[in-house]
Amino acid sequence: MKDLIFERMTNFGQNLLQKAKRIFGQAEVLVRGGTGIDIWFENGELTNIEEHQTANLGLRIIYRGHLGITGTLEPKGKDQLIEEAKISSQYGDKAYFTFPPGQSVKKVKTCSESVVKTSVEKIVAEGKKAIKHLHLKLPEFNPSLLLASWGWGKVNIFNSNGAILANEGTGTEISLEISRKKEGDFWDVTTYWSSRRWEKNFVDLTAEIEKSVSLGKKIIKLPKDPFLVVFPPKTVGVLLDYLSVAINGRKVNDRASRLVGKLGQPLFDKRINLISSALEDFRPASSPFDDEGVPTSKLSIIKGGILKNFIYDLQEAGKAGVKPTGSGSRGSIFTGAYPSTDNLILSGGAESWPSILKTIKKGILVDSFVGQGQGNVLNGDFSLRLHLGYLIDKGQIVGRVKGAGIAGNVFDILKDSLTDLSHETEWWGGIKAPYLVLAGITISAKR
Amino acid sequence: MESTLSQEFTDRIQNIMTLLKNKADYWDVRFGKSEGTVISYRSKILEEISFPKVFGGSVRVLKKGGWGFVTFRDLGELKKAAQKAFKFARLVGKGRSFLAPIKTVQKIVLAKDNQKDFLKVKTEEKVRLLDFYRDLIWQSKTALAQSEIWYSDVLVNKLFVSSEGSVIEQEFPRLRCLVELVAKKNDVIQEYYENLSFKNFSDLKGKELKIKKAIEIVNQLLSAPVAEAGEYPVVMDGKLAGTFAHEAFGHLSEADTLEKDKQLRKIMKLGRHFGNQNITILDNPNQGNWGNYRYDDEGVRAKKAVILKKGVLVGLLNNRQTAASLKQKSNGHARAEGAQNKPLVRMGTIVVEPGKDNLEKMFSGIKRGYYCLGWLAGNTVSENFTFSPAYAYEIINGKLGRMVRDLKISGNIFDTLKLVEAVGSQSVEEPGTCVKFGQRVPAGTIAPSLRLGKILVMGVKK
Repeated sequence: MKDLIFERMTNFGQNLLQKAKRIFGQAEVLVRGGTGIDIWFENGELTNIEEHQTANLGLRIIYRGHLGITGTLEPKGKDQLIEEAKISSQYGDKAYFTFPPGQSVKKVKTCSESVVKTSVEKIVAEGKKAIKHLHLKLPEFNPSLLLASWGWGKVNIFNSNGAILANEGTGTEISLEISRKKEGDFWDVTTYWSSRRWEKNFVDLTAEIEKSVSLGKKIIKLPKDPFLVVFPPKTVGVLLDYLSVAINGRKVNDRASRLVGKLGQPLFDKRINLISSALEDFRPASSPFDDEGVPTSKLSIIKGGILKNFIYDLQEAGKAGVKPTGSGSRGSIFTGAYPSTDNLILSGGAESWPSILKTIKKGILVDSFVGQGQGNVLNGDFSLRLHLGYLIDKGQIVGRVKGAGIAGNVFDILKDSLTDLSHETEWWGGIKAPYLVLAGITISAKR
Repeated sequence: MESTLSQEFTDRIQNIMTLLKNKADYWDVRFGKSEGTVISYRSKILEEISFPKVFGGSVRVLKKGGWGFVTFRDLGELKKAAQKAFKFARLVGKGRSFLAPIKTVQKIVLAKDNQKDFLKVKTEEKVRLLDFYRDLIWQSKTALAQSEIWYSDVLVNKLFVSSEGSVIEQEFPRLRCLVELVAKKNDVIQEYYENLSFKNFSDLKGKELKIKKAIEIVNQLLSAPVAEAGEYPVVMDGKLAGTFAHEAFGHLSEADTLEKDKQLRKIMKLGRHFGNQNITILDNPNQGNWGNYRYDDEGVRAKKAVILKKGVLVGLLNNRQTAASLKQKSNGHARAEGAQNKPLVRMGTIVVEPGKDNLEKMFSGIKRGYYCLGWLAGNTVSENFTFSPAYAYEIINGKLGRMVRDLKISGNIFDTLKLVEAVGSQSVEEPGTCVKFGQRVPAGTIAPSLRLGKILVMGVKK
């Protein structure tokens, strides 16, 4: 993958590092760049093709024991960057780490040549074919959005302690949404796929959409409580978001997490096993090293219901007096690192989903929500309006429900209210999860 | 005052873009830069100061109704980017290009000095003020576990050049300072956010009372019971009412959502009754201090757009293409997060026109309901929306009761506006960040208190 601006940025960064090292002692340069392409089909028509290119450079220093940070989008202005980093360090937090020396990293596949070679014309043709298929099979639906995105990128990290790390990666994402809008009933069915290579094609996604439509033809009025709520693999990420915040070393150090001081305790149902892993081939959050050059790993977060680990970047690990977990993420080159989970893998249970479904007398199978990630995240409380959900009655999915809300506390339900979890697990983006069957969730609806 | 972008780059851009003369139906190039200061505090520590600088641009090409869009990092890449955007547009376009006609404009729009007063404030002075607020937060003996103060100022310069001859340079100063407080008692954690300022540096001074009130609220939330789920009448303050208008109606009025959706166009016909006579909603980018702008990202002068007049749908927010397609007037609502993002139809400042009712009148007659204040977040997906107040009080027999927490309101856009029973007389302005297809833009609200007859409150059932 040739990218001349990225190469110029890297050369500039190497010179900048030498100067920063001479002046400050401790310094690190992060260079990132890439290209992304999006193809938009809206309401069944090809409307837009876009290409985005990025290249940026972040400089961090530790000067007189304090962190300084700056960045640039162009390979020039060394003196200004040095001055900004120095001023930043005059105010910045005390550094609880030194930049790590070069370490060996584990191998993980993050780059697919076929993605780099993808032709726009090919994806356009496939998109048109999928839309034609949808028009044929589901004529009352409008294919409101088909968005295909792919791209490639590079990252280099080098620091004053000799670390020199480089990686290349690719990414793909397909989103598909169809809708049928009638007076009093908007029915939207969505699906998506993301990975570092082309693993599914549009035909695969249209098959998923067709299946969802077949389940939801009837609108069923929500009967009264009590219910079980089933989170299929596609939706489990909503619950894991709360855990991700609670295990964040930054929140733990601030004592703003519910899990402070609880490592080693059985806080969850003993069937819950959760791993954060950056070493899954071709998964979106995979990388051999984090954004601070620390080697990544497969980290057990919860094992047999027992809380095993928090996630730390260099600074938070230093504050806590523990080893960093390779979880340092730099969203922007103008801000410091922040602990972030990698791919999350929740292991499955003993029974198959079809056999579990047969045992559910009354339940809701959730599909999509409004208001995800809002509310009191730190406390684990969630309140979500169902955008699409299905009613389970006597072991069968009998139709869809409208206008319902679900609420509960993630920590409580994953401890005391896990009724079952399927043996089957599925990847959805960077999350692999089974079907979770949960009690203890309040369901509210306009009656 | 000399402009930098237009003088430095306009000729170069126009020369390069001659390669598309008589080929593309339309093109525009946006190029911009921004510089600012971000200061963040974490509890008692000043954690980080940085000086973000961003620049870059993009070219859009329209050919036979199809768009191509390519970003570039410096003008050396523009030629290649334009050729590629044209290639993409040709691949997409199969029909005719329609854009609402506009006047060609050559203008430089500079911000007023008081809007960008932060440029003259040294970093030390900014830190001194924020240190003071940090000390104020931590001198109180409360159950605070953590706090964050986040300060950001930025001056954005944008240049717009189009094939029609428009050349517009605009300056956008933005300043925002937020405080987040986290209180913890055993396993109960509560958060509260307060905007200290979104206007200018002078306005950021003198916010001691706001901070003290925020500390009081977050501590009270710790011992407040969880709101009970069900359908209740709700009175919301102006801050929350603005979020309600943004989520419950604003997004649906963005015409790019319905332009080519035949099913939605049948339902969203002008003249349809959405709400009661007491509710009028408009979007006016010429109003307010946060979501305002003069020209949109297609070079169109931003205009006040009345969307809902006395409950009736009378207009939509448009870009040039949707205006042409829907045979409406172009009202300048095409906005992009930055020069390297494509413009989408967005709100600027959503305004709910004030009425005549006061709070006491709004509470009266409510046997059991909630008075909801402030906002944490809001979200709209298709016909469904949710929004979360920062905190609330029970209303029992027309009187305010105890504080409650963790309450979220949700509804359907077609039903909810009909539930507006009363509209307050005093409006407040509130800043926010609106996210659409991953693009974040500043979007403000100006709204009075509202009373809704009965709406779904999501929470835990006792």
